[in-house]
Formats: sequence, C-alpha cells, structure tokens
Amino acid sequence: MPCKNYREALIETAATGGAPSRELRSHLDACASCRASFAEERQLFATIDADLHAAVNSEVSASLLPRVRARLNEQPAPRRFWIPAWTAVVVAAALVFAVVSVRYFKREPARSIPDGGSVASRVVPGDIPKATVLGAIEKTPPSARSHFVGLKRVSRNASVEEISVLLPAGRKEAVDSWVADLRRGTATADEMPAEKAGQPLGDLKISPLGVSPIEMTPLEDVSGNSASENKPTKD
Amino acid sequence: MQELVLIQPGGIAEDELAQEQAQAALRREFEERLAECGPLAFRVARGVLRNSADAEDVAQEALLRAYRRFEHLRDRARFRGWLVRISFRLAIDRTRSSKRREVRETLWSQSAPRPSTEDLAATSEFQAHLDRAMEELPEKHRLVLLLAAMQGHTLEEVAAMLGLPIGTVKSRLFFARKQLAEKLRCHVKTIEKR
Repeated sequence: MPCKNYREALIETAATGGAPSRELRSHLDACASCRASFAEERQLFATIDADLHAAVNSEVSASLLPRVRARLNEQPAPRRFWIPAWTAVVVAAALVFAVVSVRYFKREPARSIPDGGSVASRVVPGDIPKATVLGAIEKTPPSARSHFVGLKRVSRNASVEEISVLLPAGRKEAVDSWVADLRRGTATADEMPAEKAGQPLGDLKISPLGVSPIEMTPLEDVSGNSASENKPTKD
Repeated sequence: MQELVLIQPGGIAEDELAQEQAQAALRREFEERLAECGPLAFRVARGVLRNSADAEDVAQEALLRAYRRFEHLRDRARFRGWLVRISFRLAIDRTRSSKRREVRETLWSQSAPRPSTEDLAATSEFQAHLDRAMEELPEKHRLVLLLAAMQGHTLEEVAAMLGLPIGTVKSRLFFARKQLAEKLRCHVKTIEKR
C-alpha cells in the first residue's frame, strides 16, 4: 500500500498518543520515510503538550489566596433573600385569581342590563332596517320571540351594549317595573311579563278606518268655469 | 440626684440572626472550596493568558464573582466546573480587551523599537504560533485541552467537571490537538530549517 494511505492513520495515532495498529506498525517497520514522519508528528504533539503543561501547571503565587480573602472581607456579604416556600403558591393563586377576574369582568357588561330602566324606554321608531330586526329576533329564544316586535343593537363596540326594544303600546311600564324587580333581585328572568304565544295582546286597540265623505261637483260646471277663466281677453 | 436608666440590650430579630448565621455558613463553605479551587481558577486563566500576573488578577476576579453568586449555585458539587467556566470566560475577555489595547498602543507608538526577527526566533517563535493557534480553536475545544493538560486531571475528571460525557471530552481533545498540529506543522518545519 502506498505511504499516503497511512498518512491519516499516522497523524491520528500521534495525536492520541496511543500505540500504532499492527498494520501501521508493519508499514513503519518497512518504510523509513513514514517512520521519520511519524517521529516528527510525535515530536510536534509532544512540543504542544509540553508547552500547554508549562502554561497550565505553573506555580500558583502564594499571595493569591490571601489577596482573595482580603477582597472577600471587603465585599458585602451576599444578601440572602428569605422567601418562604408558600410565597410561590400565594403568588400563583393571586395570578390565577387576577386572570379569572379580568376575564369575568370583560364578559360581564355583555350580560348586564343597561342602566336606568332604559330597556323599555328606548323605543325605536319604526324605520329599523328589516334585516337587523329579523337577525336579532332569530337570536332570541323562541319563547320570547312573540313579545319582541323589533330589536336593534345600538352600539356593537361599546363596553356596555345598549339594546333598544320595540314594545307593544302600553307594555313599557310593565317591562320597566320588571327590569326594576330584576335589578332588586325580586324577580327572575323567567318571570318576564309575557303573554303566551298565540294569545291576543289585550292592550292593543284596533279602530276602524274612518274616511270623511267627499263632496262631488259636476264636471261640466268645473269645465265651464275653467273655460271662461282661461278664455283670452281682447282689449 | 442623678437618674439612672436601665438600658436593656436590644434583641436582634430572629430572622436577622438567622440571616447572619446563614451568611457566615456560606462564607465558611466558600472558603473551604477556595483553598482547593483557587489554584484551578488561576491555572485555567494562565493557560489562556500565558501570563502569571494577568492570570492572578483574573483568578481573583473569578473567585469574587463565584462568591457573589455562590448561594445561587444549587448543586454545590458542580462548583469546580462552574468556577472553571467563569475563569475561562474572564480570561478570554481579558485577552480580547488586551488585544484591543495593543492595537491602540501600536497605532500610537509606531516608532517604538521592535525586537529583531532573530530575537523573536531566539525567544519563542513556536510559542507565539502556538498561542495564535490556540486562540483560533473553538472555545469548547480549548477549555478541554487546557483542563486535560493540567496535572492530576484525568479525562474522566475533566468530563465530570464540565458535566460532559467522556466520549465528548475525548473527541474534543482529539480534534483540538489535531487542529493545533495542522496549524503548527508548517511552522515547526520552517523553524527547524533555519
């Protein structure tokens, strides 16, 4: 085998400082050039090691430790922070509570009822866009649907949502008092003043359409008068 | 008539007392390690800086830093490896800053007398090449090389100190030595030819 094939093995053996393999040894026995190279490599590593040893194992100055001790005495003692073990638990619990509270209060305005019994007082005029009204009604529970004539969400992005509700005439006071009861806690949402679906609304009054009689005038007179009026005058 | 007032010694709060006791215990524990590990810090710094005075300064700084952070070290068995890394890091930083300083000084004193080429060769040309080759090594290889070169450090001890598997230490050492040899080979031949 040519010498260049042993080159890498030769360097690796010298680098590890181990004994050459049997194959390499037999080649080194036969090849004087490789033997010299191997000796050079070993010498190189030995020089490197000697230099490193000299650098790293030099005598430590006797003054090092006293100097360090003197500096340690000058140093303020490292402050030990006494944190009881349960502090972490308390902090974790407080964090969880804070997160839950923030989430709860963020959701709360949507659930709460607007101020001042204004639910019934904001009666929206009849020009509510039909799509909005229908969409809102579809979202309400079926049991309550018959009582809403229309519902419009006034401000979608506001923190407190204001809702206007169209009510049958004369129902405003009843709904107002129910909302007040609800706030006081004396009423529940189930007790909404509602009449059962299918029942007619008692307060609604239907009046017959009244048309006043029209006075009829003969067409001829009108045309005659108008003809005489429209006739051009000659001076 | 003179009025006498009985002054009772103020009782030190229990937690303060406990804190002082803990600090004293910490100091004792550190001092026990100081005698054993002080030379180690110095040698690591010496291996990087190649200068005893600088190495002593760095070792001192490393030991002070170690003391300041000693109580944060949870696994005290790792103190040696921890100190070695602090010392190594500080020594590397010092080398870099001194190089910057050298560059500045060279720019300012261009006319300063320089040693002749022959003088350089006569002193330690090989060592200069070796220093340069060492600086070019990856830091992880360099640290292993220095620790393995220290007297009384087996590869197993180096591995335990650095918290590395023995195989990793062996391979780092091998590559470091091989890399150094590759960089120095041509210089050795040049020097020998003179």
